[in-house]
Amino acid sequence: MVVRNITFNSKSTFKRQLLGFFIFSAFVLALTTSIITAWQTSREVEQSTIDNGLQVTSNFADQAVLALLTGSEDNAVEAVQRALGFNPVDGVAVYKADGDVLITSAKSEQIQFYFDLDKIKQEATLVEDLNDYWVFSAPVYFVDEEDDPELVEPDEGETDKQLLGYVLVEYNKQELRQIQNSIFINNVSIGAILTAILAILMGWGIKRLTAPLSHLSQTMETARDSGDYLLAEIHGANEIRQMAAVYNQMMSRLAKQRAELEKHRANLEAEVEIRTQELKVARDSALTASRHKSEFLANISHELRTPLQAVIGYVDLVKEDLELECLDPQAEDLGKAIRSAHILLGLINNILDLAKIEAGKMDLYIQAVDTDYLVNDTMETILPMATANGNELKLNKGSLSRTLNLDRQKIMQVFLNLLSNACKFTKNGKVEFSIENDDRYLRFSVSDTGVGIPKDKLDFIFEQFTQVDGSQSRKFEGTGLGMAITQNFCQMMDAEIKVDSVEGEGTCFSVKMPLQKLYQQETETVDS
Amino acid sequence: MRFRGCLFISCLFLLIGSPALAFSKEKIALFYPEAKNPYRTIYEEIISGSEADSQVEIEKILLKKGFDADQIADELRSKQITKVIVLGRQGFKLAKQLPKEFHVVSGALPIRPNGVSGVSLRSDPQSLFAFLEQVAPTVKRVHVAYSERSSWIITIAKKAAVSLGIDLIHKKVANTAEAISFYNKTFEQARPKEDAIWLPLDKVSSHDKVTLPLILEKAWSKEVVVFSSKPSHAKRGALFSTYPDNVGLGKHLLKMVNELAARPEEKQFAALQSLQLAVNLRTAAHLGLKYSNEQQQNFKVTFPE
Repeated sequence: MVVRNITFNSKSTFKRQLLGFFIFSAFVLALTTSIITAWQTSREVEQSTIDNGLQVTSNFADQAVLALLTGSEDNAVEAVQRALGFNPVDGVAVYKADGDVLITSAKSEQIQFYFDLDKIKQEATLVEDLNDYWVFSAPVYFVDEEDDPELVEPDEGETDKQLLGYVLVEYNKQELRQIQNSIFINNVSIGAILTAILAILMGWGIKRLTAPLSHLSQTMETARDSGDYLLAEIHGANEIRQMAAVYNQMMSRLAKQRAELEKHRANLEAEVEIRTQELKVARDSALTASRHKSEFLANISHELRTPLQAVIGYVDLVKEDLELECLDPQAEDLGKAIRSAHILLGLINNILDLAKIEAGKMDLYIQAVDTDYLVNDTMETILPMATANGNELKLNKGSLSRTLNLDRQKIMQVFLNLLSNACKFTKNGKVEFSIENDDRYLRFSVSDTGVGIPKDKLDFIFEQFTQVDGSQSRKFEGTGLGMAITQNFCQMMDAEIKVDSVEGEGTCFSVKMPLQKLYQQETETVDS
Repeated sequence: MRFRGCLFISCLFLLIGSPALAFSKEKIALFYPEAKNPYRTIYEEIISGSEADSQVEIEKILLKKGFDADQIADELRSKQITKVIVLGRQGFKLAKQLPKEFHVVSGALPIRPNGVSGVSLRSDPQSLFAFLEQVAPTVKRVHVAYSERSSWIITIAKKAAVSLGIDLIHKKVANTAEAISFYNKTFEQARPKEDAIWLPLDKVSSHDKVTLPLILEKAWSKEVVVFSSKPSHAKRGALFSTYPDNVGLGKHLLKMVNELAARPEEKQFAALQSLQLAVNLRTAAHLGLKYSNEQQQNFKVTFPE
């Protein structure tokens, strides 16, 4: 897992992964070698120490000859002292051939010797291998001097070898353990130092080896960030040179393609610029035409309304005179003329409103409006139209504040347009006006049981000069401006107007007007 | 090995020949074994000592292992040779096998009297004691332990001691332990510079590893003179020891074979009288012994070298 994290599974740089892998390998190698070498050396040192112990024992056996020959403990003292002079030797003992002790001596009183004749062999032997010490033994022989065969009489007997006794040597392992520990620590330390040196060397080597790759990567990164098609320097190992060469080819190709694209884009931009200029000209022309139209409509409406009002005024005066002179038929005719003039005036007013709206000259005049007066005025105004077609007019007042901040003229215009339309397209039916408000919205709707609007016409009813029945033989009068003005006024007041209609069953217009911009002065609720 | 080799060098018979054979040289056969150096050189030195007498003709014969004594005897008869000198271990075997008609002397071997005439490599006590007087004139008493095999040389030593006025205290021992005991007692009673311990060429009483260190150490502390028949002991700390003079040995053997031929009924046997002196000057200095340049010129070898 460690190796995977260090190298293969890591998102670090290739150089770091390579370095990590090599250092880890070198560390494992050095550690393993150190431990194996330490173990092997420890074994060799142990064997060497055993050989040394055997040699000490053998020497001690040689030195004990005199003591055993004479049976004198005093003659053994020097040999014992010499043997104990070896640091690892903790104690020695000399036994006679029959197993009796001649002398024992130890550095510590705790050391005791157990003599087992069965374990004694013909030469120096390791007889006990305990945790803390070894016990070596050796037989003590007295051997006649061996003369050179050339100097020996043929009748002289063979060299005599006489067993005198035995020696035991207790040899502690403390020094061996210290040496083994020292070997282990030294080996591991040397391994660690070698690993460090190798790490430095490998770091240097890998840095040099991966430098071309790093340069290539850096060039690619710079190319990515800058968007330039930078070419990489081709050097380093064969594979890296190939990568750099392929990268350079790719960059060259991309640069070429980009140049071509730039060329195409320039052409396209030129064409788009031309088209844009043409469209700007067309748009400006259209806007100019529209503005001229609006200005014309505004001007012409104003110019038309002034004389028309004069005509209405004078006709009304004449009508009053005729009524005073009891010329009722003439007065009635003039009444018709007055109504037609009013219709014409209404038409002109509508056109004027639309023109103002399109010219951006229509403003909102927010003021505190008494909703009772507003609704009552609306109902009184519309009631004659409803009764004219035999319709039943019904008012539903929900939770409605007494006073709301509204543009009274425009909201009433919306009420009247919707109600007049309902009354116009409903015969002997029912027209219902519902209104209510809460903290945020003013909601009102106008529903009727009239002819309804075909579904395919619903999308066009708010267009100017549009009526559902646009044929020459249409049954209902109107200019087709009312709904357009209604929608424009709603948009000015941020209101949302929706229409639901089933052909032959009726239509329902509903408006949801936000009150955020209006300061609500009073929240008195009036029951309908 | 070097000192052991030197032991051989002294065994030379002085053949100051028989003037009787004035015109035809008498032939004497000399058998020597196959050997590598340093023994080959030793044998050659002994042979050269024998050949020093121009009155005789030494026929040198290489004695191989597995020799046929009868065939050799026939050859000697055919050459009319009756005087025979044999060297070394193989030669000693031949000496024992040759018929009695031949006068055979053996050399270059530390033999003891056992029916074969010859010169033993064991130093002659007379010469030893003479050297003792020369090197350590203060010594009055000589102590020696010996085993059965060295009894014959002690017999000679007793006579030599009497002739030289030395008190010889000898102890026959059965084993090394007894020898050590003897030495210990000797040291207990020893008088510095007046007592000496003689180490004969004896495996039982003079053991290089056991008794020699003990003797040398105690002798050093008690200022007792130690001298030895074994050449190497001087180097190890004995006051002096003796080396064989091989050329002299060759001459001695030649002389002995002639004497044996003259009196066949008398077996000839002698210890090595042709000796050279090796002195340890450090031990001498410790004992307070000083030698003139003239004296030192007579020393064959001195230690430290």
